[in-house]
Parts: sequence; C-alpha cells; structure tokens
Amino acid sequence: MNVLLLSIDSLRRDFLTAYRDTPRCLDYGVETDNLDRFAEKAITFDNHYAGSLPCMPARREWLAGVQEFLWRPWGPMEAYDDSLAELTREAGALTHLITDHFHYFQHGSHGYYEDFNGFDFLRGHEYDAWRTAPRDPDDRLYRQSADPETDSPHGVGYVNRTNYARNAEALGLGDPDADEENFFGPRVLSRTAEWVGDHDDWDGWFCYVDSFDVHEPFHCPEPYASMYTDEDPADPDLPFWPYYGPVDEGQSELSERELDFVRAQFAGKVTMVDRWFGRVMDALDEGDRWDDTAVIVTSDHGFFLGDHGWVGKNEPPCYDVLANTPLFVWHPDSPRTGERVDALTSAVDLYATVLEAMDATVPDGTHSRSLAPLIRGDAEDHRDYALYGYWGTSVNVTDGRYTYMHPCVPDEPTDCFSTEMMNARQFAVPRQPKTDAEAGPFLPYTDSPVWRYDAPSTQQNEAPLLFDTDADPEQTENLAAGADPGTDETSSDDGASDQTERMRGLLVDALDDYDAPDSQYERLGLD
Amino acid sequence: MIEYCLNNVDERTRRLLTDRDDTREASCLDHCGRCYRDSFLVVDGTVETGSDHEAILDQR
Repeated sequence: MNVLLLSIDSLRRDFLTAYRDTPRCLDYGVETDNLDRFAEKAITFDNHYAGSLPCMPARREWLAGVQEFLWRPWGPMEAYDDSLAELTREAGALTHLITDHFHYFQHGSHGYYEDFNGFDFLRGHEYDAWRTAPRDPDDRLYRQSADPETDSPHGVGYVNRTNYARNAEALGLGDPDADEENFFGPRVLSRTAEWVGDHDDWDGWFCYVDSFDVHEPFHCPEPYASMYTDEDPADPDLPFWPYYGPVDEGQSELSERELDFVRAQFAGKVTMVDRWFGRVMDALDEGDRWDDTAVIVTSDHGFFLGDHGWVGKNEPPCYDVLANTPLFVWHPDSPRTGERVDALTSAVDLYATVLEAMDATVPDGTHSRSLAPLIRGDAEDHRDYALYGYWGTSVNVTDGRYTYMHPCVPDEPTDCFSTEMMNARQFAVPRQPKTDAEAGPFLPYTDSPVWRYDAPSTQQNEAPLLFDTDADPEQTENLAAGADPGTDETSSDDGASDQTERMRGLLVDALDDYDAPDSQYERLGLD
Repeated sequence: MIEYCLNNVDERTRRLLTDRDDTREASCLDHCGRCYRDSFLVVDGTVETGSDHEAILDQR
C-alpha cells in the first residue's frame, strides 16, 4: 500500500465547493473543480478539527501523534517522538517529503524532515532565507508584500518581508505575466505528480506533501490574480500580504478595497492550487495507481479574512473558520468512498490512520486514534470531544456541535515542557537560555526527563465563548452562561448555564484524559 | 492605537501598557528582527523604536 498525505496550508474549508457553495466572507463562488472531483471519489469528513496550532504544532500532530499545545508551543520533534517517516520506513516503505514550507528549516523546528528517505525543499516562499540580492528588490513586489515604513529592504534583522520580494524576483515571478508553473503551489504539486509517476517499482511508499500555498503572501499569477477582482493585481497600493490583527485598526487595518483584494487573491490561490492538484489526480489515474494508494487531503488551519473582525490568525479566538478544517480520505478498500462522515475527528488522528494504512506499528500512548474503523465502515462515531488551541492562551473543546472556548487567567504563566530550550513565542530568532528551568520526567507519555520553564500567557478571549454550530455555524451568538446574546458580555439563562457547565465539564474531562499538567488547570481557573 | 508585542515587554512594562485604554497586546506583530533587537511599539500602524517603551510613549 502507498499513502499520499497532502496538506494545503491555510485552506479554509468554506472555500471548497465540497463544503459550501459560497465562502462565508464572499458573495461569489470559488472554482475548485479538482478538489470537488476528489471529494466525490473520497470520504468527506464534515466534522474535522485542528488540534495544536498553528503551523509546526499541527505538523507534530500529524507526524508524531502528539497533541502538544497543552505542554509546549511551536518547536522541534522530540527525542521521544516516533515519527511517521521512521515507523513507515521500519515497515519497509520508502518515504519522501515534498515541500516549500520554510518553517521546517527555521530555528527550533528541526527533526521533521530528517527521517524521510528523500525530501524536496522548493525554495523561496514567505520568509525563506534564500536570495540576498539585489539589495534593492523589485519595487512592486516589495510594496505589495511589505510596509516600507517598517520593513526596510536594507535591514539585516531576522524575519524581513523583503526576503519574499527577492526570492520571487529570482524565480521570475515579478512579471505580472509570469508563467504560473513557476509559482509555489504549481511547483510543489507538479513535483508530486512526477514523484508519484516515478515510484511504481517500490513495494510501498509514504509521500508527505506539504504545500505552503495557500498560505500568505497571496501573490498569484494570471489568470488567478484577476479571476475574482476587477482591480489591477499589480497595483502597488494593494497588499497581497496583510499583517495579522484587527481589520479595523492598527497596523493590520485594511480598507474595504484592500480587504476585498486580499480575499480575491486568497480565492485565486485556492483555484490555482486546485488546478495543479488536478495534475496529481492525473498521475494517480495513470496506471490505476488509485488501487494501491490511499490519499489524504487536509489543511493545518484556516485564515481569517475579515471574519469576526480579524485578519490572519493567532490572536483571535479559535473560531471554526480557523479550527474546523477540511479532510478528504480516499482508501481503495473503503466501502464508504463518495460518502460523507459526520463523526467528530481530530488532526492528530491522521498519525495512526497513516500508520495503519501502511501496516506499520502504532505506538502505545499517543493521542492519535486511527480513522480506520470509520474508513472501513465499521464505526459511525469516533470521538466524544476534540481539543484544540494554541499553547499559552485559551483552551478549546468541541463535542461536534457545541464549541467552547475557555479563557486563561492572563497573569498566570504557562509551563513549557521540552528537551529543548526553545523560545516559547519568538521561534524565528536565536534561542535564549532558560536559566530558571527545572529538569525531570514531567510528561505523562514518556519517561524521558524534559526541561520545564514558564512564559507569559496571553488572552484570545476574556470571557468564555460557547456556540451551537448547528444553529449558528458562523458563531455569532455567544451562548456562554452569563453572556449577553450576540456579544461577549454576560446575562443569565438557565439553559445557557447548563450547556456552559456541560462543555466546561467536557473540557475538564478531556484535560483529565490527557493527564494535562496541573499548571494548566491553574492557569485556566479549572478544578 | 498602540500595539505592543508580548515578547518585547517585561512584566512591569506589560502592566503599564495593559492599564492604558489605548493599547492592544499581540502575541506577535511580525517584526521579529526589530523585536529581538529593540524596544518598539506600533503606534497608529507605524513602528516606533526607542531606548525603552516609556521613552517611546514620552516622545508622543
């Protein structure tokens, strides 16, 4: 058996026709013909949730089966992790990674690619520390991706948006008429199609494809750049790389025109990636490769495009636009292909699912629960709850209908547990020593000693947020006990109180099941 | 609107900024290079640096 696991970064599921005709933030549909075609062939999971957020924490869920955000933030694979690549190799499979995701190569993100037999890293996306010339980058690319007042093109500091302008220029992407095949998503997916076609003579393979598109910068070639807007996509006054934050104030403020443009460029990227995903499907069609290949398509999280007043991610509460992610699974032996599955599932479950599909050993003690019973048609239910969130802020839980976002006490720091002294938040700059760290076997899922040190918490929501996603899929009416309907403020209602208590209890049960650190209960004000 | 990065302030400065009604705390403002090197605030959308945060506020 072969397994192809494809992540399309930041792919909002409401932009896929398989989930919704028109994205919630748009008044027009977005073309996703190939993902629709795949959805018709595969199982579409209607209730799939992210776990640890954002990018690298999501990857550790998939690749190590660890729901890490209760213990640590963005960081490396740990010595006690059993990686998907390692375990599938032990089962005799060839393993390969294809990605343009620079974060695998930044400070504190090691250990994710090293266990694969081979890997393609296609250079140049986002902040990739690649090209350093010319000193003065293409003016149009620079102005559409950076704020000249804050990101000096001559700065040598860490994390400068000028990197993208230089990289894109080196790849010939500065020309508004640049060939789309040179853009990132097309390069990743065409390489995937090529790789799939070159490995029929192996007994089995696991190919993990991590497309950074449709992540920002939302820089698109034609025809996608103009597909959903009448603006000139090369207008230097229109940004394709928005800053994260509130859409109506501060450095992230966007005018209505700018927000419409950003949304249109995001939509264009979705369609572009969809078109090139068609090449992967074509490669699977050739030689009847579907018969011995399982294909999983998902995303790490969504992206706020003005929804709930935010652009980007990280600071807003984990509304479903971010956390309720797409998942499609094709398995040649499944009797449920072409169906929809309503069972609640979690990102971390993909770890055991891939291992089981590869006849590899699923280690004891991970947080992952294989989706195989659902795929085989042996089960209708899967999880009673899914936990999700970022380290160091709110902790969120869903039962598949209600979503409950529990705030932290902002003055209570959050413990970080790791064998590494990684920066708790500033992962992209050199690490600082933790001189007050303690060492000990603090984790419930390994006997290995780890460092324990703390860092400040920050609030995504000040008060509890509770939504009934059946009745209110856009999550506009906060039902939390004490909440004033439609706001984050409070009033009283017995039904709301009961539901809030139930979901709060579910959160505590989940933390108990995970054997979460005592300090989590303290910082969340939970017994 | 004054935005500050959680990574760029110590406990005392964080409290000082939190007590104001014209500030917003961010877990990251996407200026990691500057954040690593300098004290900075984003004031009405523009990055301002100084010897410390109070000095930046005093300049206004």
